[in-house]
Amino acid sequence: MSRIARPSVRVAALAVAGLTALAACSSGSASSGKSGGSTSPSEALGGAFGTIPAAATGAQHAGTITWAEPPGAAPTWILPLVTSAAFSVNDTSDFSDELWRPLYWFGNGVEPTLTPSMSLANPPVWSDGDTTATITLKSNYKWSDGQPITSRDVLFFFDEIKAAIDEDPANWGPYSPGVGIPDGVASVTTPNASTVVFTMKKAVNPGWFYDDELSEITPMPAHAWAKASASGPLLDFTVPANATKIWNYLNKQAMSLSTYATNPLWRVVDGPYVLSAFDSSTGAFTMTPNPAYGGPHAAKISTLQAVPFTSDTAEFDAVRADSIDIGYLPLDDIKQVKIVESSGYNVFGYPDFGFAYITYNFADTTGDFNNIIGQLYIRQALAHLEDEQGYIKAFFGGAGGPAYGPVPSVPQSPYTPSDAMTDPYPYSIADAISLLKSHGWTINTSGTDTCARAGTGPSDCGAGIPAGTKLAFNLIYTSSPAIAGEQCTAFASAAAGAGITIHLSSATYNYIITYYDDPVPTGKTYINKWAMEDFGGFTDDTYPTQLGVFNGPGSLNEGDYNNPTANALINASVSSGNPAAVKAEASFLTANQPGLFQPSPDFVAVWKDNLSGPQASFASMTQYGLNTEFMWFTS
Amino acid sequence: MGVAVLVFFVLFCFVGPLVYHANLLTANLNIANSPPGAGHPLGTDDEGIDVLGEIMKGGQASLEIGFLSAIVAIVVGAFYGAVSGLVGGFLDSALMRVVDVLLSIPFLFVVLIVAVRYGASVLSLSLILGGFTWLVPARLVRGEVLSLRVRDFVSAARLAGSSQWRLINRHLLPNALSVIIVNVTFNVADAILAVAYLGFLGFGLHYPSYDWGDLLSNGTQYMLDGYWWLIYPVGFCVIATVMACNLIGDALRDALDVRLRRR
Repeated sequence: MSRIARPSVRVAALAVAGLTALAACSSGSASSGKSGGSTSPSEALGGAFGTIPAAATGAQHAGTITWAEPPGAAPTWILPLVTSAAFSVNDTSDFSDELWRPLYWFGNGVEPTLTPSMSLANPPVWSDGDTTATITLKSNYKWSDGQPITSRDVLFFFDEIKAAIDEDPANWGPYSPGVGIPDGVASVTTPNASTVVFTMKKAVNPGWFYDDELSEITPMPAHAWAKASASGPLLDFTVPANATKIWNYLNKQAMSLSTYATNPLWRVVDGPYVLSAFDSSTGAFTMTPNPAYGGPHAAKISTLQAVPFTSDTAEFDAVRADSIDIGYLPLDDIKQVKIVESSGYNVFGYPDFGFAYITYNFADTTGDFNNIIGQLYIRQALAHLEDEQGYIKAFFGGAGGPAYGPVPSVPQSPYTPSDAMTDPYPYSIADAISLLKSHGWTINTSGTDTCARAGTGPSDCGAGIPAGTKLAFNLIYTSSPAIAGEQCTAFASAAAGAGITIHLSSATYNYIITYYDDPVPTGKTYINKWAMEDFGGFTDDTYPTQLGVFNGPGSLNEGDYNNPTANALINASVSSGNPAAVKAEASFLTANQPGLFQPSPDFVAVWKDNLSGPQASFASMTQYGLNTEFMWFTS
Repeated sequence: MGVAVLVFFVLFCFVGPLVYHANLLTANLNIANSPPGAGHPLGTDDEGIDVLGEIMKGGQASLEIGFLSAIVAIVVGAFYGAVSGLVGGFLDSALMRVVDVLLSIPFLFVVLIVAVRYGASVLSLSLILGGFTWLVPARLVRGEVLSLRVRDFVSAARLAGSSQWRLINRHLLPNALSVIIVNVTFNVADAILAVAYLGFLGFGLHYPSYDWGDLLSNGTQYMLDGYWWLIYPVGFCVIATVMACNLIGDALRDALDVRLRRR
């Protein structure tokens, strides 16, 4: 299931070729010397912002890497079994993934592809008509207390998911009712210590189940955590009642932020780090190297220190003051890149694998907006009013790229459809007007268009739109980052040129996702309060099906989009054996415009030039990855 | 001096657009953030819209909100204070405690919440700001009424059978006018600043409306980029207008306050 990206960090898309694989760049604990070839990834990426120098040769030094924790990104959850409330990159990629590694590590530099060396298991072997997946664990990963990672640790995670969901479906963020893990799984068996067998209730799309479902599994140390109290005995977690007791205990411990660094539970890890300090009020934390870490890393892992910032301005000031090792360049300050570089930083920006969009509210009956936006030609006209290239130039300082659908053209993925680079509805106010005119609207560019021909014929306004209906509605955008307001203002301006009146207002990000989100309880009473909203966007899963976002009953389907064809294609993405199914889904959604897809700004990472490592370890920062275990100081 | 500056800005904002025509509706991203030059004496903003025209239009909203909210505050505050001061006793105490409680509420937070909940417009912002700034004039007018109500002419009016309403309308408020007028000018200045705060925080007016705070907020994004034309001109307008209001207020107080006149 997609997860909400940082509001200040949205997606972008540019022409791209592959980036040197992280796996190839990291050669285990003995990693040294120049790696990744002599070609800067940015040269191959084309359009990426800045460059990543090749890994330095010479002596490698460990130290303390200070990392700028963005505003609002303080971790709030530590357990790898992540609740819906904590299902964000802040709690996963930037925090718990440093302590506990997922079964499969997806993300390889900027590419949303598997990194085998960072995965705890070999790829699944499918059998029985895509109903059985057999997984073999690797032997090089161990728990920090010396115990081996076994198939029971995978089963433990699975059983705890079931227990958590039984109490409340919101207890597991990636949960999709009826499909995938755990609902679509008939049984999980552990024939031996290194083998896990998942048997499905019915055939699934192997690509989807591997990339999106199995990747959500993070083995948990059953030998240390399968208990109901700190001093209690280990319980048989395969007994549902015991699994519930264990979940309740772990859940309670995870809610105690002040004990994160001291609770013995959280000291048993298999990732590159152990949490040694955590400030529950600010989100500052320090992680020291886990000497038992069995995955690839630099010759000597440096300590990781997260330094929280309360604003982008404060973070940028820290970068300018040369007081942080790894940070980011806020988009508003993109033109200051020369100053940053002259301060001794490397700079590299790239789009996130995901999408930003303006959500349409298909359930808003105010002014018959539900019937208006239900018309494809209206959505097409609105898409014609978005000047993506202009936004990138004027608002992103060139650090971004166009995006036309839910699967961006870059970062390139095995699932990127061939038409992802083509804008199906290029910017043209004249084309928007033409579409409206041809469907019975009277154009009034100094006022508001009105429906002149009610009806359902091909040249009529469409079902449920009475004559005299005005093309006027509201758009609420998040008050931060500034680019949201800038884009929405430009969009409203272009719309005014076509006689469409858009009333703009802003609200905080939290306000929007709390009240302008149809499926959630707090949003139900506000359904008729908003026609369009811009909260940001989503980071796609590796297998980028929109099961949660644009599927009729999807839990993240904020605007109640419900299209039978889209639903069928999404279902095929999940359940058919066709590896190209998700491409067909993405192509349809791009053409059907369930929302107004926006261009994507780069996330621009900066790091001190005395910090080196495999190129992909720095490139991954643009994708929310934080792989400081690969990095070293050159001096 | 203050009057001259204020008159200048009123003319600049309301008469200026009749002379200086700028398209403030259509974004032109090809000329976004252009420096001052031919066709755009104060350059363009990030949407490619003429800054001089925006300042004029933004000034209209800021001045309208300033004056309207001041009127709301004075009308409400004056009558509230007059009633409280005239009636006295328990009701006076109760009314003033209400004022104390309301004064203790950080008004900017409430204004932000209301602005988000109900949307921002010239009218709504004026009512919201006026709804919070009547507290000070209420106290001032009450104090004035407390001293006026024991004067002979008020006692005479009572004996003549004047109702409470007539006392307030015909005797007390007219005699408290100096306090009220002086306070109006300060309220205008405060409201212009308050709406600038709101705009600066991103909760002011939205396209196609503007206020000076919005423009300033937008400009500060580019502070490090050297786009001075997005900050200094509108910043100067805010400072000069507020200063003019304060100068007028000071002058009126000097002229109308008997005690100051004696000094």
